[in-house]
Amino acid sequence: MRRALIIARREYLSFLRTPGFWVSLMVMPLVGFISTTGPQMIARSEPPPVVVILDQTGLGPAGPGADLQRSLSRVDGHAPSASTTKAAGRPKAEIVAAPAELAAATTPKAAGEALLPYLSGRKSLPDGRSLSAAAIVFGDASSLKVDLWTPSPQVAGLSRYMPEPLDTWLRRARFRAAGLDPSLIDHIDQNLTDIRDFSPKAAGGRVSFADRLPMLAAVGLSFALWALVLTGAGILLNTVIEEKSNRVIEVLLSSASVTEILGGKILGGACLSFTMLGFWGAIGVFLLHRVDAGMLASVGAAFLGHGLIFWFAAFFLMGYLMYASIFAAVGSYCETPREAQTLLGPIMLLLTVPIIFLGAAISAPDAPLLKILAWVPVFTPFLMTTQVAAGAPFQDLALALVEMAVTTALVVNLSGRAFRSGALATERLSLQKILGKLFDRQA
Amino acid sequence: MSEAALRLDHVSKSYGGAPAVRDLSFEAPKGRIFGFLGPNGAGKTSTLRMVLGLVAPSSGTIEVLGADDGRKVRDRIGFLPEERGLYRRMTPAQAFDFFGALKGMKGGVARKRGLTMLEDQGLAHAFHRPVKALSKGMAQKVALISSLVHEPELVVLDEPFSGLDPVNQQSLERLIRGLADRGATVVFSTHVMAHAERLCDKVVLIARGSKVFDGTVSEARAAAPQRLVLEGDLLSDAVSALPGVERVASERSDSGGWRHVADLSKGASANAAVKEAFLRGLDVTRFESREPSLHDAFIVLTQDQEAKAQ
Repeated sequence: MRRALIIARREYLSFLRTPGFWVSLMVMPLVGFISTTGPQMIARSEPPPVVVILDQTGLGPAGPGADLQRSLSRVDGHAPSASTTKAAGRPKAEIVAAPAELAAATTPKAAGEALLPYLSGRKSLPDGRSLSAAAIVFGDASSLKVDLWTPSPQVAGLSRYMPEPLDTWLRRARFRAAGLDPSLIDHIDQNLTDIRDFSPKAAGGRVSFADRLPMLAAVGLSFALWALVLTGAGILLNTVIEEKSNRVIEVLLSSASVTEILGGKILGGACLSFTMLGFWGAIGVFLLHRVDAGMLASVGAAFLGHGLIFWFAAFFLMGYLMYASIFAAVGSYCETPREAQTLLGPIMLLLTVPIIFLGAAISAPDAPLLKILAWVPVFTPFLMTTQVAAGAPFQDLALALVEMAVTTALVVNLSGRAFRSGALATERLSLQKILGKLFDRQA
Repeated sequence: MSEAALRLDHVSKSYGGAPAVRDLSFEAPKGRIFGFLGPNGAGKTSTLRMVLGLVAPSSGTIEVLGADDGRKVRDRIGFLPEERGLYRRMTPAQAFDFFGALKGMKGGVARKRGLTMLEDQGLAHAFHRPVKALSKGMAQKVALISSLVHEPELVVLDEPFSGLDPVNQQSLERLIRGLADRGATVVFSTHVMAHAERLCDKVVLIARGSKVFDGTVSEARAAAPQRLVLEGDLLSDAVSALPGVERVASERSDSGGWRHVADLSKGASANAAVKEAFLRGLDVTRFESREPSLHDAFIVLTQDQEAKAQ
């Protein structure tokens, strides 16, 4: 135990001093910050597109072009959505008056031909700016059409904002044609269907954001575990490769048992992972506290609800132990990171599976495939926490933990054997030979 | 006879059916420098690993410092692998702390003792420099000191002179002699015979996993033939006809005559051969009686083993 602690201390301090550790520490918050604020920043930094609307319906100010102009020029008051490029306080487009030759065109075809020099960059608007798009509205109340011209097929974002104002105009025109009062539409549109979510698992019956929070927290923890396994086990792998290539591993083996060496390394790596987790957690708590203290309390309750944080800790321990020992064993057979990449390929592929299913867990935590995968030991540490949040029975979780403990014990035992034979191997070994050595008692 | 620090009794080791060490038995006396010699791939590293308890023998027994397994006395053993055995980013100070602590020492004590040993080698200035910034010779000395800070009773060195220049080799030899002077048993493997010849009290020579010699350096030398070098205007047939000459190798000398190197048969006298050469009126301008070196013995003994294997 004393030797294991000495090795753990060295592992921890040596990596704490490397730039790579600090980069890893900062990357996660940075990625989180960029992924949440990036779309807004892009949208804010980009001026609204300059658009010309050519209404060829012949209806003048009462035509659909005017409604379209009002809608596109409107400044949205609500917060921006991550799924759109909308930004608060910014119109969807800046509508400018059509140059004379465009306004003079009476058919969509003629307007299209007149637009070509503007959209290909050969001609500018009278104020010197380039035209971003042009919408040619034509037809009548029975059949309204819009040709949207843009400089490139990739610039098509505006089309998503057009159906709503134009359909409203159409409905009003058709109401009038049917002899009805168009203001009825506004009346009818008031108090439409109110869909409410209820679940016996939700507190108070009705599903609220607070009820969805545990699953979000579980998925967040699983992602954190995934990142920590990759980081911690990756660090471990690199240390073992270094020790193998400069023969330190032989000195270690002559000074401590395999259990002490592996245990010390895994413990050191785990301490590094906990340092990262603590740092990320502190940043999260600080930001949540600054943004919404009530939300912080809700998140805290989500972590404690169903014992989520305790189950996470247990599965984290098993998962980390399992993957770290595998990575250490792989490292013991390699003298360069390139050799390790070949052996780690299948494991890395395996590790992508839970990431694919974690996203789906938010909307469908009870999906049968997810439930089955959560019982597969290599995925259990990542996916079983989602089942905790989904309210899986205690006995199921306890059984999964036992299964995980047995698997981890087996993997650690085999990894220890592999580590010993790999550490002393001087020739390059095939996968077949490595597997053979695992079960060779004399190795 | 002195007590043995290390005793191997009919030890064999196979990897996947391929024998690496065959029926090896020898003893390394306490407080002496013991050379474990053999060509590359002879089984030296496999044997040392069994001594340290890193791998188990397929058969036979090993006794290390009175224990039946090297792992039971690992705190009393110091080990230096063939290459550095140091973390590149560590400083010597950190290395002494870490490796000393693994052997049960308190950090401060290991560091102080390491510094003293580093000062003795004139390397005190390197105490806080990372290993990657040190020359190979300096790093090798730091590695050796790291394995010695706990003052082990048995020091196992695997090819310690590998890649060192002559000045560093000499300095390392002094360090090894110092260990024996303070009572430690030193077992070192090498395929460079000059070091063993200068350092060892006793040597074991192995080839193809089997022991081919076990004894003192002078006994090993006796296994190789004594040589007589004759130069002058004389033909090899005349040299071959001299008493006690078994084989002759001839080449043109720088002076334009011939240089003959004659292997003498066991017990033959070089003096008698030279005397006979002069009595026969051979034109000898220079002669030299050469005692066989350990290198000569190594070649003869390993060639015998190769011949037997074929």
